[in-house]
Amino acid sequence: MFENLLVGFSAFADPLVWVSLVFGALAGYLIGAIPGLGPSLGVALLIPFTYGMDPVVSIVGLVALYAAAEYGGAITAILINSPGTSAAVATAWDGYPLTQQGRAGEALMVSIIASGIGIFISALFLLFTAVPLSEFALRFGPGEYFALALVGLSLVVGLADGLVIKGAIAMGIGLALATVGLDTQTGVPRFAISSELFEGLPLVPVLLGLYALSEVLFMVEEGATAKVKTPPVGSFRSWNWKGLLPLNGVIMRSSVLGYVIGIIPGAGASIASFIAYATAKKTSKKPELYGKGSIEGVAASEAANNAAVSGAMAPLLALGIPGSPTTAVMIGALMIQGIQPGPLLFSRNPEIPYTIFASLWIGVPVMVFIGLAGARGWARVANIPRPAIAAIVSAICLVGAYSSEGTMFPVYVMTAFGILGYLLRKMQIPLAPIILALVLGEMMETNFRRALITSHGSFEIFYSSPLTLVLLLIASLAFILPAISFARRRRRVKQGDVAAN
Amino acid sequence: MDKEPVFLGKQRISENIRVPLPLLEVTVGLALLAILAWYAMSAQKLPQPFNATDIGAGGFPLLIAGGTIVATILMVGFGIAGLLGKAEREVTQWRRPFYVVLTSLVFVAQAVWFETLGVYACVGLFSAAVMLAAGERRPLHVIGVPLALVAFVYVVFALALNVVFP
Repeated sequence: MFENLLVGFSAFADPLVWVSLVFGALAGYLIGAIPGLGPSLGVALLIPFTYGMDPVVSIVGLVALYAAAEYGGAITAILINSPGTSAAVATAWDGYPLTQQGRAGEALMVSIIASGIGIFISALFLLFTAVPLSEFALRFGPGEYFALALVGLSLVVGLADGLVIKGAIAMGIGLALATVGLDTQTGVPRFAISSELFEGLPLVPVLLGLYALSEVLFMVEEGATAKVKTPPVGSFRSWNWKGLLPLNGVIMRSSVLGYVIGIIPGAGASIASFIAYATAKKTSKKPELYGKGSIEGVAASEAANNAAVSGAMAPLLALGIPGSPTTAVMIGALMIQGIQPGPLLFSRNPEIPYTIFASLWIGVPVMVFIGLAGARGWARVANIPRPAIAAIVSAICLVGAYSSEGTMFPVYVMTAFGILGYLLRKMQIPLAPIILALVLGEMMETNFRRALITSHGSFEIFYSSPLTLVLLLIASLAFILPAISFARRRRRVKQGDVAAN
Repeated sequence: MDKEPVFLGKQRISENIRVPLPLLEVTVGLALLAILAWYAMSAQKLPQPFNATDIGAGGFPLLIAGGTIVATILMVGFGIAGLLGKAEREVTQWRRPFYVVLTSLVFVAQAVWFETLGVYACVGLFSAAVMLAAGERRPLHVIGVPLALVAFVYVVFALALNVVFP
């Protein structure tokens, strides 16, 4: 493990890796600070720039963007009460009241340092859990792999915003899209209305369309936005660094919590920050300050949402199962480079996971420096006119889709999925299960069919192994529990209506 | 379906359309059911496997179609219940629909004319169109941003990444 870790760190001897790290972090801050643009969109937009790059260089940039975008959302949350990402909502609860009290600088400093510590600690956990997990996963058979992919998908559906039914429909759409093209087992073309579809739907144009181009239509809906006045931040040299010491405990606890929640597919940074915030409030000596300007609240939320970044990486690297929409997009980026995440990644391409570990640690001081030095500048990012952002995003989508194969077909796919993504979001159908199902679909089908072939067509293989059985039970509960909770809520609403009448 | 006028200053620019979500769920659900029926029928027509223990090329798609059809029927059912029930209906807002449709057409046009116009003209013209649709009216911005984008595409994609464009 330590030899491979040295390989990971030695990647930074290449100046291009540093350029990629700094560029990724800058792009991440920029995207995170703009409300509406999240890390998934950021990573999708960065993929076209990585086509010709060395895999290590590109993955360092993508990871840096992911981590920095999670932090960038906190800047506008603290300064103008407009969280750049959903994971920064809990940060705004205390961050903005602190700004109103004239303590914006302190809140920003604490959020940046807590984010940095969150990433640092969670990267340690990632190293010591992903490697053994990948070794354990080498023993998995096709039944276990099918069940694992189903758990990943069903948890994303169960934890998605809105109804579980719409999540299930999204999952079905994604899986159906994944079956387009030549059948990997028999070579029979399926649902391919043109020969260009024989290799399946191109992943990058689908990602660009669903995440980025659909967002342009939402920007058009909003129209030109008014300028927001940003409050004075002050120089970071004058900030009270000693104020950080009493926050050690809350940052450590939230980092561990964030990492653990980040591992759960579908939970992600937002849930991590909410749970860490609630836990910090419960264990605080001054819970009355929460929501009115508690510096602890800011630290808890930020440490957790950044630690969740490493958490989401664990199932991606060790099992090849993306746990969040952003890691699903990242799997697309890795596949373009010819790299298949999963347990074999650690033996076939050890430089990739270990460079990710190294980049998470090396990236911390870089991110903290960029964040502190540019705090005042990042706050102004929210004032970039929406129409300009819309034009930039649509142009990158167009050029990025074309560059992916050098033909027009990906451009048509991207355009179609851009409009489809907008309509689906209007219908409150979540996009994350579509992307995850599209990425996992082929693996699910292959393992499902392999499992049936090895068991001579008997479904017993799915309940004879305790691990497969437990995984399938978790998958079923992920659908059933939200459905029961929905039915209860409906009954309560109905009872409320009757009582009111 | 309600309409509300939207103003930019004193100028009326677009209607704000409000559609009950259950209506949308029923309409889109029925369309989705038709697509899923076609998907299931196409899956059924796929050749049977040579190996008797394999479910064949159409087996997994049939399972997907079955599950998704059940979920879609449930959504349509809840939608109908929502339309017929007395409870307050959830509403989806479609702001500036004219401009959204216009931008969608711009996306289609840029895909259709990409090869004919070439990448630079396409990026320049259509990004300006997107900005105008998104509400930008300052001439300097509408001209400056697309020009900067064209330069960016040339430097980054054509020069640095060696992408050959039409």
